[in-house]
Amino acid sequence: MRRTSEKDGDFTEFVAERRPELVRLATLLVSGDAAKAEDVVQTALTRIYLAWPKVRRETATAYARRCVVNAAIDERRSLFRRREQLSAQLPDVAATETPHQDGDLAVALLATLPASMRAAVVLRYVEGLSIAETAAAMRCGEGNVKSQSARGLQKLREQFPARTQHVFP
Amino acid sequence: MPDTPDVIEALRNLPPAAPASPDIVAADLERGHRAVTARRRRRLALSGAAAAVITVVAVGAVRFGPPATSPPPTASGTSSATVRLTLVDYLGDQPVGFKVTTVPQGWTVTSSDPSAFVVAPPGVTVASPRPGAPVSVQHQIMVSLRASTTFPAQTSTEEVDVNGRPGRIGHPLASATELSDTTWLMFPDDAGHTVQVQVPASTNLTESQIVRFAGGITVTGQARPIGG
Repeated sequence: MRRTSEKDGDFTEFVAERRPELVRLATLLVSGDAAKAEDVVQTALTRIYLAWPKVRRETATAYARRCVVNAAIDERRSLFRRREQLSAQLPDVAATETPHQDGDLAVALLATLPASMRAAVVLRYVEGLSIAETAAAMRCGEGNVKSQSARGLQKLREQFPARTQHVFP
Repeated sequence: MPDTPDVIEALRNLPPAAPASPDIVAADLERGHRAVTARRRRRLALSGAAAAVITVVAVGAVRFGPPATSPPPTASGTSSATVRLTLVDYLGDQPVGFKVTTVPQGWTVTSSDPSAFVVAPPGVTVASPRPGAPVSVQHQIMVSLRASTTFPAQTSTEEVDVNGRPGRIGHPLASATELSDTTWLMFPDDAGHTVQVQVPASTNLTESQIVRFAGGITVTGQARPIGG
């Protein structure tokens, strides 16, 4: 067990170093909503702090990623109950003049995937994790990761050209 | 895959999140502290509401009858006191290996050996204890002499003065992750061993009363530490 001062020092150092990438991951998992992503990261970091005495430094990043995924899925579930409505149609995405319009479009398409499928695609292809690492982060089997990520990828593949044409005629 | 790499590439090329400022990191740490405090409160509330766990320890065989001069039982002398006890001079038989001068009113030494003794409220007796046989100390105070013992690392303790000796008061673990509501007070004897006073929450003794009770304990030459 680490003492409180040592624990706080380690945790502070970890947060300062890793927070930006956790925010980025959360942003993708919650479909680009920055405020929601911040909520997710705060929730995840609180859970990490509670478990910090038992977290090994070498696995802390993987554990943090798992907490962010869980918090994002939890957030999505609670928001789904409160606000979201299912729709068979893809949401219209306004064309923007920002230099990241492809990214915005990709995020909007990502949002059409179910939460666990989205997590599989993000962790596997955007974050570049292995199947085993993705399975650990999502706390599911490797077979599930393979099928979710493959189906997610296929959906993006089907939608991206159509959306590109629609948004940027 | 003509298009998918573009989608993934677009996601990968999103601008990175801004570095975390010290204020944001400090706020994360503060939320962590609050969560720890909240969890501790929840666990203490749960453990207080849960049924008392019987603590069984090996305490020896000397059995004491009620002392001839023991004070009359009081309403507070039940096994689960709900009324604050008062401490009085102890006039009953002394335990083996220790001398006790102060006990909760009506309480007596019911069992002892050279390493430990038990102080119990009126009505609690030890039925024919055998040497080395386990004795329940539920709702009772147990004092033991230990060669070496410490609080669990998870426990935050407070320093107290036990008749001029530096003591520490805190709680043992109820499980791997939860603190018990039982109180431990530890202080050194003259030989450098540790006297451990274990007081269940059901006795309703305050910390200052526990310190006063501990201050009335003297380890004699007959005492033998456990584990030493």
